[in-house]
Amino acid sequence: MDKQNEILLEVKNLKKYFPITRGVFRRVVGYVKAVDRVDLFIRQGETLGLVGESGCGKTTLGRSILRLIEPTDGEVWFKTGKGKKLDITKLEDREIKSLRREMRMIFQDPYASLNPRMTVMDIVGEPLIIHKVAQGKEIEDRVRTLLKIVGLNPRYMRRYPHEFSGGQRQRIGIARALALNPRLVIADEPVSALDVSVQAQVINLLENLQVQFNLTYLFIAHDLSVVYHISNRIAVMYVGKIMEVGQAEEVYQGPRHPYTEALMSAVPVIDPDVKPERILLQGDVPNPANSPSGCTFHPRCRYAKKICSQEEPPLEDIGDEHYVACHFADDFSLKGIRQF
Amino acid sequence: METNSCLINVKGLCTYFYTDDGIVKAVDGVNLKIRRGETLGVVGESGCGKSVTALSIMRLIPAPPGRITRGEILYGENKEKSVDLIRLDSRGSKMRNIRGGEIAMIFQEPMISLNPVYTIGDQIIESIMVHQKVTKKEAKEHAIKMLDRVGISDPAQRVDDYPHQLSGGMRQRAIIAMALSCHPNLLIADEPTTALDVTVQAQVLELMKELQQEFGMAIMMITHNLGVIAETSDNVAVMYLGKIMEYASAHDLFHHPMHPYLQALLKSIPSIVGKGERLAMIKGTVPDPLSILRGCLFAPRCLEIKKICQSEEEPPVIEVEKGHQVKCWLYA
Repeated sequence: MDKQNEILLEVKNLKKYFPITRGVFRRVVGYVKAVDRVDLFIRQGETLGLVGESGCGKTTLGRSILRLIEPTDGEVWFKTGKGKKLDITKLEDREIKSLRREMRMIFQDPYASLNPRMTVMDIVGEPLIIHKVAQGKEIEDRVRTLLKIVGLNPRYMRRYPHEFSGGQRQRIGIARALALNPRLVIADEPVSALDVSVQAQVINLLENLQVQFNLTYLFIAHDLSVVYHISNRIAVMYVGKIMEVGQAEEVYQGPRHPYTEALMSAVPVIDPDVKPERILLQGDVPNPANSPSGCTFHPRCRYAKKICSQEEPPLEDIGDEHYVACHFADDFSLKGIRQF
Repeated sequence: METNSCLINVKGLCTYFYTDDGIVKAVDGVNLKIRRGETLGVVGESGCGKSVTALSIMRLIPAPPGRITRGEILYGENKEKSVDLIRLDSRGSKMRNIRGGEIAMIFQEPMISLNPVYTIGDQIIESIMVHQKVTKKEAKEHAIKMLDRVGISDPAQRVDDYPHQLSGGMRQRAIIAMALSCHPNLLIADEPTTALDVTVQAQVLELMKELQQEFGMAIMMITHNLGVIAETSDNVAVMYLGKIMEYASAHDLFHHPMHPYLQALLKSIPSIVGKGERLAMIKGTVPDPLSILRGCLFAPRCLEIKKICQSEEEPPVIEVEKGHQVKCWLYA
């Protein structure tokens, strides 16, 4: 992806803290820092992959960007189709509604995300009605085209979700997301619930649609190979914070953050003759309600020094738009994927 | 491969479910062999019958609607002493001693397979006391020892924790401790790492490998993840719609995949090496298990289809090399 491409979405210092309350008066005793001071940007037409372990805040970040949950603090700048730059976090409800035409979401679970009492026609056509972009017969025509685009037979538009397989349901979800010609699509684990053979079909479909409609993706997933396959750039998240962002190849093959290195070493190798050398992380992911001082990764980091537990490293550009949040980003030579 | 050296020898196993909508042939003529100390990987997409195979060995198939209609599950290395698990009463004392004592199983979802109202200690102690003649105090000591062995820090404290107090990875460790507390001969692991993150998955797989060497048990590793299979298994069975499509050593299977299904499956996984390339797809989806298919079950999705594949005759199992079996007309 060219660096000349304009920036479509810019997240600045975004926070989402969930209060922890106790007692009858719901006194706030602490916060779960699900998203903690995140900075990110996405260029027009690119795919930014967001990886991290469960509970690291990937989904919360995705939803805060769309304001499906209200962020606690921070800015989310989005360049609209008319070329205006808006801070999504400051918008009124009515303004956000019109903006949601341009930003859509694809959800993880194709079984839970479709209303079982609605037909495919209703599900895919609903955004058209809500945003008043089509009426009557037009809706049916548009749904028919959308279903063709995602590779479903329009004959099935009167059927209910339970009559479709997992992969087909995910296609219905994609058709619904595309109904309003969005510019940014946030895909939250879109293929995790699918079988391997079907997963490949959906990934290829998402790639085709990106070219066809000039879509920009924020692709959230925990499967490191899938994210690598589809992404131009990749962001690695750990306990609410971005640890490393950069070009996919750079992050995977030449990681600069020890957490990325450990993550890469854990990916299973599909060759029984290769015995990879693993960096086994000790302990568990810390509780985001009580995250460690300094660098959140320091208790599990094998390179940790004294400063790591005292000062939090900022996310800094180490050159060529490769951002790393580590005090020693320049000092170590870390191993990337398949170098173990 | 001599029969008497096998710990478990499954021959022609058929497990059918008689539902209101028709018969689901969940497992249809499966042959498997596992020797002591060996890991057999069973891989396939959802609905291929891999879990039902495991539950048939454990005699945990819910009946009705399920029934093992044919086949043998010979358990025991000694030919004279080996028992056919299918002939045992699934609720009888003999099967109950084997289940959990000699053949243990760990399940996919670490939250669902632990009882939330008992401490993990209680649950491990229960399984020890059912199978061994020990006092409760001894059982608790053993439980603490097992928790320590699976890498739970501070086991004397943790033994009194409830499942919700542990993280996903810790819960799966506690379940492994429970399964291994009676030193089983065979451990059936049904998607043991699917609910876990890659870093935790690496920890758990490493732990299982260590414990296998320590206790010398056999493992049946059931998963849909070919990467996990490649890392853990000695031999691999690839299943599709209740039948084994290919059966070989892990080396042969990944270096010389024969069946078009396996070849396509391997190509459809996004790999780190071939970034930028399009993923190969398998057209269509796994057919409805109720649909009646004849001949080769993979034929409707196969790219290398020949005339004979569309006939009603089932493809034979062909041994293309020693120990490498494939069920496909291409090699007939």
